[in-house]
Order: sequence, then C-alpha cells, then structure tokens
Amino acid sequence: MTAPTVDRAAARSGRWHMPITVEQRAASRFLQQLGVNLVALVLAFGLGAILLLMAGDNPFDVYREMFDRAFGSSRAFRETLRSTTPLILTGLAVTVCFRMGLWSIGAEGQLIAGSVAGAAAALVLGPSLPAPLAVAAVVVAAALGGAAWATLAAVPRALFGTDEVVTTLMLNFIALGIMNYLIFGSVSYWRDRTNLGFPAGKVIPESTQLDPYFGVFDAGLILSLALALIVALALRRTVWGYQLRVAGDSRAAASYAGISATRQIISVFAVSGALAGVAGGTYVMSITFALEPRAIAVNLGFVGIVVAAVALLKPLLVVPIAFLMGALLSIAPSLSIFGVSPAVVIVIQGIILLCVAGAQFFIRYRVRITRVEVGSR
Amino acid sequence: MPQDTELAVRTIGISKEFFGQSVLEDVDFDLRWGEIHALLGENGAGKSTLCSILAGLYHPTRGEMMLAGAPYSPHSPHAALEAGVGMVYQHFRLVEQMTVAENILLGNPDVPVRMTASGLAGRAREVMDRHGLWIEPTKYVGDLAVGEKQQAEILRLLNRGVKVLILDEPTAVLTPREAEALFAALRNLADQGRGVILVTHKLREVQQSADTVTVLRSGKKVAHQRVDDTTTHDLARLMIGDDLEPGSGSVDASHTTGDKLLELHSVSVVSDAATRPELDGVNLTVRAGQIVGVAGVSGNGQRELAEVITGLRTTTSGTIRLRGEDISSQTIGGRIKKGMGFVPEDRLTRGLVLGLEIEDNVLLRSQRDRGFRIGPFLRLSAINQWARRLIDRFDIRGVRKGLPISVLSGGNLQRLILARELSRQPALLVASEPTRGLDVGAAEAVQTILKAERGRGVGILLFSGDLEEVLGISDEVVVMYEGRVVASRPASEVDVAQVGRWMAGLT
Ligand SMILES: Nc1ncnc2c1ncn2[C@@H]1O[C@H](COP(=O)(O)OP(=O)(O)OP(=O)(O)O)[C@@H](O)[C@H]1O
Ligand SMILES: [Mg+2]
Repeated sequence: MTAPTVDRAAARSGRWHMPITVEQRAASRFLQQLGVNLVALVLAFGLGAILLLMAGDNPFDVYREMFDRAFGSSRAFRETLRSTTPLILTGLAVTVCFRMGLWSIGAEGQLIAGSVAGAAAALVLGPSLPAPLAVAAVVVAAALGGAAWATLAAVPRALFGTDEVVTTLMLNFIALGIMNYLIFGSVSYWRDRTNLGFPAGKVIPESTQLDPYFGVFDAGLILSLALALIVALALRRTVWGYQLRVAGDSRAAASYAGISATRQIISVFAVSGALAGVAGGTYVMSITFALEPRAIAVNLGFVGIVVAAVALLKPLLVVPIAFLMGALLSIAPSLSIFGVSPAVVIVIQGIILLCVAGAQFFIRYRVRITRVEVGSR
Repeated sequence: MPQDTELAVRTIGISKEFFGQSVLEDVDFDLRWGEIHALLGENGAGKSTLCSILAGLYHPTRGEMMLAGAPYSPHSPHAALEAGVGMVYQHFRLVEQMTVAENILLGNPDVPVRMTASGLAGRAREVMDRHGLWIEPTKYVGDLAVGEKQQAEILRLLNRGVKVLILDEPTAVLTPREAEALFAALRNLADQGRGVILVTHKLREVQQSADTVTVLRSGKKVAHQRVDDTTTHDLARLMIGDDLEPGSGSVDASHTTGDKLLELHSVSVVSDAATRPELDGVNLTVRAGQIVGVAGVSGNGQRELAEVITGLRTTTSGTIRLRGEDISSQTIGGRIKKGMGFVPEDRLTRGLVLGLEIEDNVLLRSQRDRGFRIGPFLRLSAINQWARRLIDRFDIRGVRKGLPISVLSGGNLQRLILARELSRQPALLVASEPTRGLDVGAAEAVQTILKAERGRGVGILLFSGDLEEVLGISDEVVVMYEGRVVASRPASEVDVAQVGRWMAGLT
C-alpha cells in the first residue's frame, strides 16, 4: 500500500539513460525545503547578473546600488518597509487560499475593493472620529470591501464549482475599471472636486493618515505583522485552520470528516479577501492618502502570489519574503536614474518565481549522480 | 526461456534507511527462476520497501543486487522494467481513461504510434493468448473490476517482457475466486520460467500457492524456507516472533442483543435511470450489541450502502433511522455527532489525510468534539496525548515527528484508521474491510476489538470480502446481490457454500 503514486519524473529520467538517479521523496523536511528555496533565490540573482552583463551593466555595481537604495539610508529603509506592508498582506491572502487548493489570483481586485471601501470610510468618518477610531474604521471597511469582492468569486465556486482562476481574474479587471471610473470617469464622492486639473482622488482627513514612528515604519506594518502571526496561529491552532488544511490535502477526506465544502470555501475566500482588502486600506492611509488609481493598481496583488509561493505558503515566512520583494519594488523607480531599466527588477522577480517553481522539483525528488554499472541496462 | 544462472534475483546485504532510520538491514534474498516466492512479515517489516528497491523505485543505502547473475542497480522503475523486472503496486498504474488494449501496449517500443483501435485490440489479444489471461481489450480501464485491473496491469508488464514479476499484496483487494484465478495465472507464468515475488498477509495463500517463503521481521530476514517444510502456524510464529502467541485472546465475550439501532426501510439509490439501481429497496436492521456482516461479490452495492448510511451519498427513496430518528437527510457531521463511526474502504484517499501528521489524522471527524477544542481553538496538547495513546494501544509503528503519515506502511495506516474510529466510542460502527492489509496478529486483534465493542453494546455493520471473517464474527449475515439484499440469516444457520450461492445470485 505504500507504493507512491505515479512517479512520472522518475520514470522519465530512466529514458534519458543518464547516470543520474531521481527518487521520489516520501516527505521532506521543512529546513530542506527552505534551503532549496534559498539556493533558488541565490541562483535567481546569479541569472539576473548574467542578464545585466548582457545588457552591458556591471552586476556588482547594480546589486550594490540596489542594496543601498533599499536599505542604505533611513529614508530608503522606510520606502522598503512601505512596500513590505501591502505585500505581507496580499502574500497572506494568497497563502490562505492556496493552502486550501483554491487558486485565487484575485488579491489585486480585492486590494482595489479594499482601497475604495477604506477611502470611503476615511472620507465619511475621518472628520468626526478621533484618530485611532478613524483608522480602525478604515481597516474594518477595507477588510469588508475586500471580503465582499472575494465572495463574488467564492459563491459560484462553492455552489457550482465555477473555476476560481477565471472569475478572480475577471473580477480584478472589473475592480480596476470601477476604480478608474470613480476617479477618471465620473465626479464621484471619491474624486477631488476642487481640483480642476488632472482628475485626482479626494485627500483623506489627517486623522486617517498614518505617520511613521521614528520616521521609519507605521501602524500598517505593525498590523500586517500581527495579522501574519494571527494567520499562522489560525492555521495551526483553530478548527477553521484544521479544516482548511484537511480540505487542502484531500477533498474526499474533508467530506468524510463532515466538513462542509461550501462553507469552508466561502469562509476561506472571505478571509483571503479581507486580508487583501486591508492591504488596500493601509496603502491608502500610509502612501496614497487618496483613492489614486495609478498609485494603487501597481500589481501588489499579483506580486503577493510570488511572495506566497516563495514563502512555501507558510504565513510566517511571508514576512521576510515580502520584505525582500518590497525592497525590490521600492527601488524599481529609482533605478532608472542610475541608468538601469526598472524592467530589470520585474525580470528579476520573474526569474525568482521560475527558480522557486523549478526548485519544487528538488523538494519532491532526490537527485543523485550514480555510477553506471555494467549490466544495469 | 533460456536462463544464464539458476538464480533470477539475488540481493546481498541490502540495507535501506529513511531519514537515518533503518528499515531494512543486511537482507539477503534469493529468487529462483520458475518459482513463486512469498514475502511475509508483519506490518512495517519492510516488505514493500524491499520490493520497491528491486523494482528500481528506491535505492538501497547499502548492498548489492544481481539479476540473472549480472550486477543490477536500476536507477528508476523504467530501467528496472527494461532489465526485465516489473512490479504490480497495490495502486495500479493504469490510465483509467484508456482502453485495456492501450494500457497493455502502452510504452511498448514495437507498437507504432499510430494504430487503429481494432489493430490495437488485435495486438492486445495476441498478448493475452500468449499468457492465458483474458480481459475484453476494448473496455475502458475505469470500468473494470479490481481483479480485471490487476490482470491488465500484469499483462502490461508481461508485454514489456518482464522475467521477474513482483506483486505487493495483490490479493488484498480480490475476492477469493479472483484470487484463485490470479494464482492460476501466476503458476502458469512461473512454469514458463519466470520468477514471481508475492507479498501477502494470508498464510493460507502461501501454503497453497507459493514454493518458497522468505520472512522479514523488523527489517531483517529471519527465515527462507521451502513452503512444503512449514505450516501456517510456523509461519505466523516466524513473523511475529516467539514472544507472541497468535490465536490467543479470541474468547467470545457473551453479549446480549439490544434495541434496534439502525433501521433501513426500502432504501434505494438510483444515479442513472438507464442502468440498474445501485441500491434497490434495501431493508436492514442492526441492533445494539450486534455484528451484522454484509457478504457479496464486490460491486453489488456494498460501497453504496455504506455511503448512504454514513451520509456520503444521498438516498433516492426510503428512510434510514438511527435510534428511531430519521437521519436520511442529515449531514455527515450530524451523523458523526450522533455516534456514527466509519472505516471507509478507500482508506488512503478518504479515511486519512496523507500529507498531514498523525495528530491531524487522529483528529479527523472529531474536530468538533468538546474534548479537543475550546471554542474555535484546538487543544493541541490533548490531541497530542490522544495520538500517543492510540499509537500505543494499537501498536502503530513508523510514526515520525514532523513527517506526514504517508511514510507509514500500508498496514500501519489501516491500524491508524481503526484506532481512531474504534476509540471514539461510536454507537454504530460501519466498517468496510477493516482487516484488509493487516498482518495476522493485527487482524486477529481487530476482530477481538470488534467483539469487545459489541460487548459494550455497539452495533456494527461489517463489510468484508473475506467470507470467513463475515461468518466468523457476525451474529447476522446479510447477502447482497445486484443492489438488493437477497438473504438475511443468523450466522449460525448458514455455511460458506450456501452464502456463496446467494452471492452468485442463485437461491
Ligand atoms: N518513504 C519513507 N520514508 C520514511 N519511512 C518509510 C518510508 N517508506 C517506508 N517507511 C517505513 O519503513 C518501514 C517499512 O515499511 P514497508 O512499507 O516496507 O512495510 P511493509 O512490510 O510493506 O508493511 P505493510 O504490511 O504494513 O504494508 C515502516 O516503518 C515505514 O514507516
Ligand atoms: Mg506494504
């Protein structure tokens, strides 16, 4: 009974007739997985270096410059942390869904929905509430907005099995369209009506703008760290997290255990959407200070997928990975001054994703160089 | 078949470690051409591991292997197959969406890529004729019965020219008649000069069908004998060691049969109006303190019956009552809460979560119990203690902290499900093939536990392809045929022959 399921890679390797052995690992340890992924990261930067060389840049200089711009001054560090916050949250959002085998790529749209709802709350309640309450109201509104947007994909998935990849992708475009319409296409509540120049969002009241402590990090980062911890605990230590893990591993076992697929799918989507929504809310409160479509729709939801994947869907690992990706993101605009295309950063991100995806093979299989003996064929 | 040497396979000092833990130690194993060689051992003794090494799936940590006198170290199952060694895993590796012919000829280098269906079927028939096995080649594998799938798998390997055939617990899923057919086919293959390795827990099969037997205990070879020189009793002793006496502890606790616990009234399941109903007006009663055994050739509605009772499937008509209350439309969770235990037939896909650790698996179906949670929070220490207790009480071996349970051996996985379902003190236990894949000692222990549970007043509905098990421990025997209950009698009033006739649809 212990025979592993179809061992395609191993079977295929036989056909190469190379002195390489591929053996399926029954299980691999966490540290092993982490090690493989770190090697993949190093490899990604190595490949990036080759790319830079081909583009005529000195990779060492570029990497040193990138490092300086990400961490070299307190201002640089603050910029890095500002991008870290939303990436932690979208990374967590993706993690929660993927852990249950729900391939939602809707964090982008949910983040936008959260921004719209959060900005509305800030504009409506901000002037009349004391700062802490106003901020809390924005967070709650953003979470609800994101959750509601996710539910639009969750319900058809739960009831009719509609493919969530397609619906969440469509919903991303719809969310973006709505946000653009609110600012560029109409004179909506969110739009700054006093400004007669280029259409812009109405600036949120001061009580809802987050000031950085020590000039470096703000309450949004603390909130995102706390949420990472909460998600980790929820997965490990609550009935909800347990049911999610069971359903993620085997749908048949989940139904055998009396876990309602409908309810579990909807609740997981809602939690995921809430996390992405909070990302939008804090982004508005600490970076854009208004519903600014072109500052908000910068692929934070999509990068969250990279973050979650590199972090092996472990909520606590999401934090350092988001930090790394945040650094890459924050330096992208300033690199062009240095004469390097910001596209380099995007390419490096892509290379990282590919390397990590490739690394999963080494996590699942053990590869060894073996002696080829006479008669072994 | 001309052979270079007398020995087909020889292993010299094979050892295998997983994560530093030794699973096989210095195993010398010899297989002759033309013999059926049984591999015996307790659950977790290392049988599957040894077979997987021979078949190129795992690589030994130390030791050497010879095939027909030449050094042999396959670096993949494919390489092993090219060298002439093929293995039938308990989970078949056939492509369900393809026909039998396609599966059999799959990967055969001589078969052209483009070939008509009838051409393929013709080629497949040739292969079947050559080996004396027969399955309709145009059928889809997904539609085959288990026994047929197994034959298709064997044919696939034979078509690739295997000279050494390894079968890991092939009879666990077969009915006695299918098993007999399999052994006849294996004997034929051995007579043609092939070497056959057979893993099984059924000692009688070893006595009847094998020529030689090798016994493993805790990863070491403890015996290699001709079968004619042994008795089943000797074999059991060799497997378990001298410290344990198999066959003890089967004192039948006297018990009284109580009130009606489970009642089914004309329960039908019709999923497709064009075919015969899966269940057709089934009436059935299980009382407290009673074991009702369901006999039948597999595929006659047993699976559907178990699923309908436990809530995995909905009834088309009819009522199901538990302690007088209609539960026909209750959720699975609701039925669990009412005290329904369930050992499902698909233990790997349904009964367990292979990617999670032991704690998560003992919690399955109990995740809402008060003992294991406070509000929405799990009581991890209580769950952990519970897991330790079950490991202890049911002697589950091979559990490793931090690793998913997929590293456990087949028999130990079955023990884990039984441990969980028996220990939560169900009022009604629906058990499908509870002893499948267990070694003799464990199988007997489970039967003893089932009887003890009955003594406590638990009602048990037992599904088993092993007629002797059904007749041996049931109070009442129910026979299913084509979705209907065709007979229902006290176990003391029927014999194997009579039940066999009912199972075949005769009266
Ligand atoms: N991939 C693996 N990783 C770690 N341990 C393993 C692995 N495969 C098997 N084991 C361990 O090796 C031991 C032997 O397992 P094996 O599957 O060979 O037993 P078996 O004799 O086939 O038992 P059964 O009768 O229960 O099928 C078990 O303790 C099992 O837990
Ligand atoms: Mg085994």
